[in-house]
Amino acid sequence: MKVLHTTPFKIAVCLKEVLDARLPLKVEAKTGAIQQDAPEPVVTLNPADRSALEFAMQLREQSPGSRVEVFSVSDVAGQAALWYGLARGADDAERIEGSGKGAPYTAALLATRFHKETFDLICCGDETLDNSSALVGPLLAEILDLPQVTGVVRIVECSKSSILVERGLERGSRELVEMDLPGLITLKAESVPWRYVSYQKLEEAQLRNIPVRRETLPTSSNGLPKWPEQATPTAPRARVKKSFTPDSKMSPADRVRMIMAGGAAPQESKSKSSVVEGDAEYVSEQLYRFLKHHEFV
Amino acid sequence: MSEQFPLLFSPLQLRNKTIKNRIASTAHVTIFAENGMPADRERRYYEEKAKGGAGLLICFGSSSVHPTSPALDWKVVEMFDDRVIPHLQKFSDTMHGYGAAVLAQITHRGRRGHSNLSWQRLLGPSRVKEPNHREVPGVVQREDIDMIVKAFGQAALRLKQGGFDGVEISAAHCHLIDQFWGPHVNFRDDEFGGDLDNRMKFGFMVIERVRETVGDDFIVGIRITGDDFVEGGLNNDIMCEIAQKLSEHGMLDYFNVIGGSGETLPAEAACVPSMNFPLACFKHLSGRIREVVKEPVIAVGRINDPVVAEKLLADGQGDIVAMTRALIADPYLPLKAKEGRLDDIRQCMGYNEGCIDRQYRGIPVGCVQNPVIGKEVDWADLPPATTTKKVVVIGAGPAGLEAARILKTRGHQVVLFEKSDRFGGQLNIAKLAAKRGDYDGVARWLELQVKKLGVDIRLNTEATVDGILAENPDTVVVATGAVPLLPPVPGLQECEFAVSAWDVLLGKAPAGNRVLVLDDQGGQESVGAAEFLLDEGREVEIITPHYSVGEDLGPTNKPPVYARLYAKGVRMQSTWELAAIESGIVRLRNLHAGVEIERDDVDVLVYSYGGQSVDGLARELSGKVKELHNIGDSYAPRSLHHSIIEAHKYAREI
Repeated sequence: MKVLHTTPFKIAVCLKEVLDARLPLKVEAKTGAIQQDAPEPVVTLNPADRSALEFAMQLREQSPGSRVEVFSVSDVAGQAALWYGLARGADDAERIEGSGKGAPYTAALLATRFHKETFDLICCGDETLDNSSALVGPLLAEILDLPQVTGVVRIVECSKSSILVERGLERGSRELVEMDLPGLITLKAESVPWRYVSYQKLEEAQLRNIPVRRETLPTSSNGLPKWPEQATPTAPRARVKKSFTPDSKMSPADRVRMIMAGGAAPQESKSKSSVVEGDAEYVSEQLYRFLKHHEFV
Repeated sequence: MSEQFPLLFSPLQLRNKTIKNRIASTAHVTIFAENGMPADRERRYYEEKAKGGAGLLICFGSSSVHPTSPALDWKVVEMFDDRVIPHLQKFSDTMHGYGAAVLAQITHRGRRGHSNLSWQRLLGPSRVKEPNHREVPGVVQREDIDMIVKAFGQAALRLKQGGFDGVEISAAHCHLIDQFWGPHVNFRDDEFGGDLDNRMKFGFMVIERVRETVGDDFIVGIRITGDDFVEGGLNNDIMCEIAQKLSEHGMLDYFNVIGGSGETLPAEAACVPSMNFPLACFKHLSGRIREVVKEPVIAVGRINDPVVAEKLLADGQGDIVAMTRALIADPYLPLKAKEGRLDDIRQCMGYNEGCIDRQYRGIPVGCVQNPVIGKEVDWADLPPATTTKKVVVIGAGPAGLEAARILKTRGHQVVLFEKSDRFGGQLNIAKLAAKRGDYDGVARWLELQVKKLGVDIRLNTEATVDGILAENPDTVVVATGAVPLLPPVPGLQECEFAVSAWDVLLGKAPAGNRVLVLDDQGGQESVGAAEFLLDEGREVEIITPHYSVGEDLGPTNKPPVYARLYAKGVRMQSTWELAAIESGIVRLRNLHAGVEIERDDVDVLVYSYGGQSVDGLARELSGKVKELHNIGDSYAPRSLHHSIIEAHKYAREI
């Protein structure tokens, strides 16, 4: 990454704790969603968010005087994400609480915060390990009316007024995009290698008091469009597993017979086998005729 | 939500109604209607299913939308008459009390039936008779179409007025709608015949009228076949095309997919697959239909177990599973499955002689395993005994087991004697025949129940009068069963190459290639023995004094048995009886002409005359105990159904 100006940046990073997908997860049969309320959930910082944090920290390194603040919409259990952010070197952290669940609520709650204070760049992970909706970043940018680039895999250069990034496309293709700042980018998990955070730093972070902001969303549709995720989830339509089906061109009797036999081929009629009796000469003659008739010899 | 069956116990939205689980009882004829009205017997029959936890009840198979539908043979509900509405209201109130969604099937049977009960002319799309009923119908005219379409709408409206949640239009079993669809039935040259779109026109008119009449807040489903198994008929390819068109039309809420059709003997047998078919044997049909429609699909066909049902749902071969016969064998299957009490589920074994084979003959539905079916008004509740008695039951066949189960449940002290080392009695022999392996399911369940209840079981104990009296019983129930009957036909008793069908199944047939089977019993005995010997590679001929071999086999049992016998090369002759056996020569007599023929080409003679009571103990005990009941085959050799009902009846009264 090339930083063209050395003017300080003001960067916000959005973080989320998710269920650790390296462990067995339970899927709800009804909705196909991952069961979030396991008895003792093992959680981790969402990998893409970690990359967003890492990118912000590296940008700060290259432009002295920059500030990085980390935010998370979560209950108190989710503040571990913010501890990690602080341990990695973020200047400040803030936890946001509010009613409602799902990407639209998360985005709307974050927006209430960013309406109050303008950041040069907002960095998010492009999707979470659990729901993978990849909605929070784009929704947030839309609500804040900011330009956005999603799925960023590399930052080429960055100035006070614009940023040049590569987006990951299908089959490894890349797209070079320049975006005006202030703006929002979402980063892919593999975009930036993470640096090691020492245990001591983590312990120090955990001693810090993280402020909580409680936000109430407007109950009307004002500012919060009805996104599909808010609809009641219904069971996904199970795909049809292929099972043996007799060809419609076969005779009805054969179709029924095959179904009765659980898919076995129709029985060959007994008349197809025959026994030849007689002396050796007669039997060998008959056998030769049979083989010749069926073109074996 | 059930841990083991998350899909089976998940709700499903059908239009404005949430079905609480995926277990359905589909429409079937019960022969319970009184003067065309669903009365208490019908209501109590379904109430047990609702109480047992089924989510969707589709009731009243083939109820008539119009008096011209030939349905008096099945005593169906007459949905063409407004006087049905109060009955429907009482019925739907009862089912709703248990949270079940309640629908009913309506239909016009068209040419499928006889006119000799109602003397109403049969109607069909063309003048083509149904092979099974063999009566030529008149051709539906344009004004008939308008009349019938209107009648469908009115019938559906009556259901809505009667508090039902929806209606199922039957276009299966080759009733009028699918008679129009069938290229082998519909030869019209007007707008209702010709290409598929024309042939479907009548059905669409019906669906549109029904939807128009009932409005948007009412479930309208359809029952179709997935493959009718009829030559030149509605095979799976055509049915997928039809289903797709119906789905695109967009007025239906579900598809209920059967296999088979009512037109021919084999196709009719396939409609309600007996134990001759594998479990969930038509899942491929519902699966293929489900691929071309967007609406939920009901899968049917020997789904007798919640595990099979869950798998079918997971495999996407249906959204709802029809467990109709499974719910007859045990209306409490859903509750038991939900609670994880799988062992307590009395599993339908697909015997069919107690339910559908009775219905096809116009006799009310029952169940060979569950004696309460059809008698719910009197027997749904099992009151405890007023005074506790000590009861000795002799014989652990189905009759003895059922008696012991009921007696113990009612609070009596029960001792069960069995001379052999196993439960099940004659079922242990019957299950040895081809495709009859599921037949001992009834004994397996009863055995587990009497063990759980804590009946004092004495296996390997031959009951004697002294042994019984030593128990000092208040009541003795004798269920000592039967042995094969050997009638006094001259020469039969001494014949060295004669063997009973029972012994054949036990592997005791004498050597010899040419087998003559004498089928007097008329049930599974002789055909089972014949197939057993055919499978050994012997030549088998069956003769019977009746009009057909296996005369008493029901319409869903006979065709699969015949299909296998004929494929294996059997020969059959009817109305011949055994006259005598003299020095190795078998003399047969024709029942009608009285002529006799001599057969010297018989190596093995298999006889099947049914059973002979083993009632020695019952006679000896007479007068020596306070209360004595002789039940089941030891009273008179009859069917499994008789044994279970009789045992249940006496055990209730002791």
